[in-house]
Amino acid sequence: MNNTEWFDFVSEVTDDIITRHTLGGLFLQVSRNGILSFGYSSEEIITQSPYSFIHEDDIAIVKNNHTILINERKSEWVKYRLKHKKGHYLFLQSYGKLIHSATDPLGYEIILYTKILNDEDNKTISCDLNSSELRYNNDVTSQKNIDESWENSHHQHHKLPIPYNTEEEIRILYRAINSSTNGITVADCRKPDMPLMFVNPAFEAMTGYAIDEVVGKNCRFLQGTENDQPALDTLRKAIRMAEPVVVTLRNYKKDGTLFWNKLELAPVRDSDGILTHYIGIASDISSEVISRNQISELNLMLAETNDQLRIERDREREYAKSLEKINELKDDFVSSVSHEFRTPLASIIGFAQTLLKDNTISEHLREKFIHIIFNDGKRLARIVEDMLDIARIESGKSTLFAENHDIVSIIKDAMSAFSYDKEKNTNPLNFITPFSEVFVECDKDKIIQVLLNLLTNAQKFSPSDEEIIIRLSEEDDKIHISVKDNGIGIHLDDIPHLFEKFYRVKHPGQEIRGTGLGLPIAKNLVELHGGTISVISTIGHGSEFIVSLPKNMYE
Amino acid sequence: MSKTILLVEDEDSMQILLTYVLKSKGFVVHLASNGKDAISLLQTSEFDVLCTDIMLPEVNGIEVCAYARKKYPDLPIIVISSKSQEKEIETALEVGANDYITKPFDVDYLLQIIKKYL
Ligand SMILES: Cc1cc2nc3c(=O)[nH]c(=O)nc-3n(C[C@H](O)[C@H](O)[C@H](O)COP(=O)(O)O)c2cc1C
Repeated sequence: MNNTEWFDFVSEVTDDIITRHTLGGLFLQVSRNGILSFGYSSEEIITQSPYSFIHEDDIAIVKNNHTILINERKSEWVKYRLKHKKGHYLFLQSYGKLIHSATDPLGYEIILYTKILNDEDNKTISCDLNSSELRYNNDVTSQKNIDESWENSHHQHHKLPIPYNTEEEIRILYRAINSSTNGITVADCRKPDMPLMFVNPAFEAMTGYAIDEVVGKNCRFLQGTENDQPALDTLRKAIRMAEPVVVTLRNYKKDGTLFWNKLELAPVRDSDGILTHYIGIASDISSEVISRNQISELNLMLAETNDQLRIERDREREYAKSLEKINELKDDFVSSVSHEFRTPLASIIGFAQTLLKDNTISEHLREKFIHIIFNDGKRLARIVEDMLDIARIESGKSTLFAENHDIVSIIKDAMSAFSYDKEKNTNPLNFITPFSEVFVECDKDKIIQVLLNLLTNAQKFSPSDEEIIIRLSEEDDKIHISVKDNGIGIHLDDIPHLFEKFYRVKHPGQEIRGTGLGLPIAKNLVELHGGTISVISTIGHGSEFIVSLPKNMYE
Repeated sequence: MSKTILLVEDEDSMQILLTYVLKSKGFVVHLASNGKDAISLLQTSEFDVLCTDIMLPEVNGIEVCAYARKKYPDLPIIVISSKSQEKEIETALEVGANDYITKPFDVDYLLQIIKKYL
């Protein structure tokens, strides 16, 4: 900040009369209150010599003081009279100081701190200047004028509370501004676009910009491209209304780092209440904002984690429940499988033992027994096969060899395979269809297995002489095969579980044999074909299983 | 006089095996393929021994045992079943079975047990 700007700033914040002069004494600047007190406009004073305003009797003493200041760099208070615009004299006391020139680095300027003396001071003057012909009759008016101007300045909207009266106090103020940890900025509202005229070292440290880089610019450069921050609306409105405001802005340091700037703006007005300056106090509250953001972020995360935990816990519970269920199913399975194994094993072992020990058995019976052993051996193999099937399907290793097959002949093949076991499968089969052939893309062996499983199921739940009806129908690009028995029917509660592995329907008073795998295998195979399997059942009236298959698997 | 046995068994192969074995040892074997038939036979005739499976269509072996025990307090009842869990054995014994043999079984052992109760 150059001397002019610095002076402008200080002039705003003090009610003291401060003037800036060339070494020769010409007025360069006069502080706000100086203008007020002297009564002249700044145009009328600036570049004028002070000696043209000083009472001619006091010129010598002031000049003497002036010379001592320049030659010996010694400052002393000097009391003198200055002519007010209105013609009367003001009793003043001034103290001069040399400062480096703004324009010439080797040159100097003078700053004068001036006080208007009160009555007591006037008396002192009168004593001091006893020999001179001071006219005291002006004192009253002058003092009255001074009071008026004080009065005026007190009416101003923005009034700094402490009037700084001495050079010492000004120095303290300046030092305070310079050593403040808050960034302090002053913008000139009288110039277009409110350029900065001063920033303190803390602002430089905070933003990374040096004072010469920012003076003359509007402070918005700190916003980068983010000039649409909602807080800016508040700020703009306050500036428009010349009101104080506090906002938090996202700003960028010179190196591009984002920081949160808590900006307090206070307007400075002239005696007419016209806004002249804005003073800004900026603090980097990034760490606060960050921790605040972090806290809300953490809270969010916590809430999410809680949700997640709840979901996990529910899942765990579900999992525990399904484990329990699986365990139950496994127990059921073990007992059902063991039963399925035990019966043919008992037969095989019993007959083998009898054949070994009893040599009185007729040739005919011997052959019959061996045949039974053979059949029960095969039955065991079938059970093992079923278990392997389901394991293969479940592990996704079951593959289809799909080709176009006539589903009518597949159904007939399944029926004869079923009826082949004449001893067990005694139920008459009745195949009803309007078609002589319907081609369906499928794996023939797998569909035969599905139908055999459904027929076996129907047989298990029907009295041995009840008819099982197989129907084939067509619907658009699908076919439906229905297998209907007139058996005991399936309880409503069992229906959702029918296709679960190892699930065995419980019928009070009787138990139905099976591995509990026939229907799950059937369902899996149908689904591999892109089809569905469903069931309709009425207790006491039997069940109907319906297999629906797409004619073309991949359409 | 030869002893009569009521054999309740739904599995063909078991029927054939047990009938043959028991007949060859001099028993007279009456056969029922389900619980309902067994109970009607028990209603009309007396037997020296009852051998029954548990898993039977329509009326199960446990009910057959219970019915037989009620009607014939002294009738030896031997359960032959592939159910081998403690719980099932207990239930069978509770309702009145004297003994319990699990499948697969040793034919000689079965005969020993039957003899024990005669
Ligand atoms: C004294 C003063 C200091 C300011 N300091 C900052 C600042 O540090 N950071 C910032 O983003 N804006 C600051 N501003 C605000 C901008 O300079 C400008 O007023 C704001 O972006 C709204 O005006 P615009 O819409 O013309 O940009 C300051 C304004 C004044 C008057």
